[in-house]
Amino acid sequence: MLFNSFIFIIFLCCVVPIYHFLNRRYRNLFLLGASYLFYGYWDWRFLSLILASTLLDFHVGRAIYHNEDEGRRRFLLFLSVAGNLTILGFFKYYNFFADSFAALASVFGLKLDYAHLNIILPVGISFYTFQTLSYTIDIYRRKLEPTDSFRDFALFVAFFPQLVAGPIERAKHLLPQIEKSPSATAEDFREGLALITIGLFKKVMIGDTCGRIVDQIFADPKLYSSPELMMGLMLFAIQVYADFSGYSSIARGTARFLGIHIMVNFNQPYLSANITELWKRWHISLSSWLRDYVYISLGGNRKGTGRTYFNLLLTMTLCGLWHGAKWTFVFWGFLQGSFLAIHKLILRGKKATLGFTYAGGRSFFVFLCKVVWTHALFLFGLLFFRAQSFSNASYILKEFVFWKSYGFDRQIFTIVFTYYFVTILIDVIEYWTKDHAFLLRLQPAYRTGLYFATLGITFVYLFQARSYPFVYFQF
Amino acid sequence: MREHVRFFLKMTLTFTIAMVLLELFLRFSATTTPSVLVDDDMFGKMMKPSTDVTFVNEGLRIGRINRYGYLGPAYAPRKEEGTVRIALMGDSYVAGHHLFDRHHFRYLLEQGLNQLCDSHVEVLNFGFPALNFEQMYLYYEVFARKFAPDFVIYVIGTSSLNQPSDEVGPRLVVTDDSVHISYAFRSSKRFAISKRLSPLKRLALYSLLRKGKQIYDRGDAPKVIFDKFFILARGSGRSAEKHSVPVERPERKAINRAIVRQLGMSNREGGPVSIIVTRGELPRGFVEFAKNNGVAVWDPSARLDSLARSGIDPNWWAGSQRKGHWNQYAHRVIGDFLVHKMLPFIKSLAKGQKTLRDPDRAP
Repeated sequence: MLFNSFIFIIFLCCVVPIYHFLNRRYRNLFLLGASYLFYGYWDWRFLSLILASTLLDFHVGRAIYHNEDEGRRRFLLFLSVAGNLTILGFFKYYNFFADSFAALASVFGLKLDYAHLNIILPVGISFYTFQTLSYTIDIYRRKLEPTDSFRDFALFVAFFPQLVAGPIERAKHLLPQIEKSPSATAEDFREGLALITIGLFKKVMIGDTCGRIVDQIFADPKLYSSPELMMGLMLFAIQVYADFSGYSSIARGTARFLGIHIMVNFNQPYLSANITELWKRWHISLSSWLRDYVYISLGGNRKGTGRTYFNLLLTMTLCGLWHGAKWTFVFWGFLQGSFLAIHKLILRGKKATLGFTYAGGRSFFVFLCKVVWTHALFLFGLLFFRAQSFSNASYILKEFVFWKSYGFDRQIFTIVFTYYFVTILIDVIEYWTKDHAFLLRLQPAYRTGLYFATLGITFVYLFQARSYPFVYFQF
Repeated sequence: MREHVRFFLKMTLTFTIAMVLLELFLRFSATTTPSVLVDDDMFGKMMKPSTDVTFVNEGLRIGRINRYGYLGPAYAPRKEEGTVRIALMGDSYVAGHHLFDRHHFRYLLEQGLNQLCDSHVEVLNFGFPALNFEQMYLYYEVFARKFAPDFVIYVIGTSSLNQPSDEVGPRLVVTDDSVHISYAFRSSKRFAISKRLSPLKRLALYSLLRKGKQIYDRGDAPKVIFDKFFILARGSGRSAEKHSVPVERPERKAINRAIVRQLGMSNREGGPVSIIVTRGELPRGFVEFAKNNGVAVWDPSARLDSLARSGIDPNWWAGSQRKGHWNQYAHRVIGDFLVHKMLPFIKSLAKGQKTLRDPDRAP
């Protein structure tokens, strides 16, 4: 079920009142059923995977906690990690590694007959796998006590607002809330509505509409001129951000309707003045997951300078692989790791500046230049993220170098400028107010007018356009 | 009470301001293109001259309606001495609102002919979405004729022959052996309402709402809203579509035949040479009738089939993942097909053979 569909709105309108009418004892059971319905709506067969992952980590988590023998604990952790990664690896990476291996073998003149499988990638598998993994790892690290309720744990894994595209929640944050089966307050409803309105607008009116242009251009880049390709790339930057941050806002808003707070996943990343800051503001739940469970597990910055850079590169390359089973994603991750490593090198041990403090016109100008430079670096990386292949990416790069236009540059500029203006405007307001539900700062009368207009147009557009799945569903 | 009124006023004010801002967003981001049509006393509606257009549908088009009110380069009605002009008449397949002009067969035909022959060739795109054969003919008569084409290519499919004409527009009246154009629509209520609504039509918001209404009118609303549940309730037991032999609807037959007779007469009398190019299979009876009346019918389907056999579906749009009009590769094939079909005529025209009575005799 897509958030940007009428069926989800109907689903939400049924789930929220029933949840609040029910006795607290039955709320989680009901929510678990609703979450499975939400997930099974794509394909009910996917439910078996989520159940397998839930069963494995629930029992392994308890076993780790109740076991004092370090060797046994490590073995149990290995069981959980291997079990989850096997599911993920098979469904997401089997063909990637099989194809890559066959291609490598063919370089040496070997022809490998292996079975290329037609596997459907289950929606959101990377997200819930990482979420359940963090549960067992935290128990192993003695940072978390396991829950005794299978129902609550199953709901923690399958909680529908954040099941298919995050935020990748930590058990320490989400489980205690689930265990309480809270009721939403009036404030929760107000904030939830504001978040959903902003999220839907971002997703449907910005992300999806950008996506229609981006998909055309990247489907066959050779048909397009340099300005058109540049438009495709810049609009993709807007699309991926509006789409994912819009999703996260809707997820947060939906959870608030159920009285549950889920973490912020995006914090105006395009207003970052350096790449380190950008990665602290972009897909925060994944960045922090990778930091806590990969980078730190590899030794972090505790094993010398060289090893720190290596760990950074490796973590970000894995981040690329997490995004998709394609070498272009791996390269994108490696590129991001390189940018971070170079920035770390430039900083020479100093901490990266986060945020902007106004200290006169010059400081603002310098900040603006840094923001533009950071965005340009990010755009360069996104080219590999979005291109279907390296040959397409290199073709596009060549077109950027040997600029060639067939006219209509003014129209192209207008489209790109409009999308950037609206997206950045929302970000600036959020940045300024330090509030994602900034609409609540308006008087109720003004706010209501804005809701009617924004939601009205969003729904009309949704009605007449094809619902676009979220970009991050494929991951 | 006063509090409520104040609340309502504030809410209305914010709503209005938000709608204005949303209108600007929709317009400048090309999310919804406001209607490019204006009311016209001759044809009911015409493309608004000098208008930038961006269409994102099955494909992408960024372009402009030229200052004369048609698509592509602005060739003035008066043509230069020695210039050969080809007018393309057709519906959305010819208008090509889903691809750039440089990928359109209009451009490829013009380029190809200019490279291969000594005459200067200009190809004018008078494509207009949703026109039927009658309307294409009328559009030529009331508008395209002014541009003095030497050749007029009608691109039609079976739907062009069978689709009823728009109420708001001229009609062709057939009486025995003659035809004349009726402009009765000018006094119709619908035309008057359409004219009154014209400022609204220039809004992107209006376009957005109109598209929604079209879906509602088609009866697709339950499917959009209830998604899989609607399909479950209705059942998925639809029988596979069978290939049916194209037929001409009896009520449209007289009009279509009258037009063909007119085109044939023009071909015989040294007027602009009219040619029919098919987009899909046409009823056999119609094709025979056209040929018997001296109107050539060219069928590029063999070329398109060979494109499909090479692994490229001529109607598949990879960007939007759906089937639709001819894509860029199909346009390339059509352009090439027409270049080779037209070349002998252009060359013979250059040699001074002013009248080309039977274009089908071409090698």
